[in-house]
Amino acid sequence: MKKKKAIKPRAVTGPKCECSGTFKPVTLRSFDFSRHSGLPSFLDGAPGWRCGSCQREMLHGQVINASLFLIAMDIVGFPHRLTAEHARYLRRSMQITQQELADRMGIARETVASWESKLKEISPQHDLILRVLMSNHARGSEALPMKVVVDIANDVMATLSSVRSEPAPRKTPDLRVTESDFKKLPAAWLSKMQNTAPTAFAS
Amino acid sequence: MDERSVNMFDVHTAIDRSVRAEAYQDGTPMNGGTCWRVFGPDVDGDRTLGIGVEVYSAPNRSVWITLCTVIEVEG
Repeated sequence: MKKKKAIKPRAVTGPKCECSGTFKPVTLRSFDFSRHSGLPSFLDGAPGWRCGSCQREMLHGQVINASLFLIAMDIVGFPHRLTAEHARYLRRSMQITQQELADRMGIARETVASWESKLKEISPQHDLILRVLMSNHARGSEALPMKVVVDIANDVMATLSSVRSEPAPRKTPDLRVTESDFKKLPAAWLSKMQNTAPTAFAS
Repeated sequence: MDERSVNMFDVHTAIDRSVRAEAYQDGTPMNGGTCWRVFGPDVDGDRTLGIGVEVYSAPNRSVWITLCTVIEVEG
């Protein structure tokens, strides 16, 4: 009787790089995420792709979206008052203009502009309202599976029981999505991110 | 994206609030597939961005590749 040929799992290989090397799936260490987020930020342990030849690194589009979401949630849980960069990040994360945020908060656009341009520190009350708006917005995020999104948003919401009376630090600290943050995400989702091609953003 | 002070939120907003889409006028991508461009505002509503999207399958056909090019459009 003929032996059945064992099916070898197909090796996951990514697309060709501009240097003609090939991208391979890897776990990225200290990936500089600043140009994606617009804030000094790093990813530790993110599923990503690296060119075997020129070492260029890329992220899957969904990993980018998930990381943007995790950074927003990190900011909402920030123990001090929001810095100008934080406030701007949260507004942009909700994809609304200064005027649209002002309308939602029942304040003048100039007030929003004054936080973001560091002319004035955000008041504790406005700080809290902005965080609550962001948490509510986050519940509808499609960056991660719905249950994960709702769990993370609920955890962050639970930290918003009072206003932040401590003033914002002078310099916005670097934001970091850590390996343990990624490990909390569903294994099936992480595996999918390393088995489908990354989306490249070029300009 | 760095040079144009554009980040992912601008890209998402330009796509979500796009007002126009058109096929590339300069033909199909070198590797086949499809290519088109969408136009929409950035998050702050100050600029109009064009997001070029090229989609094609890799030479070994095991993966699809999406290449996005971000440009700022006059007016």
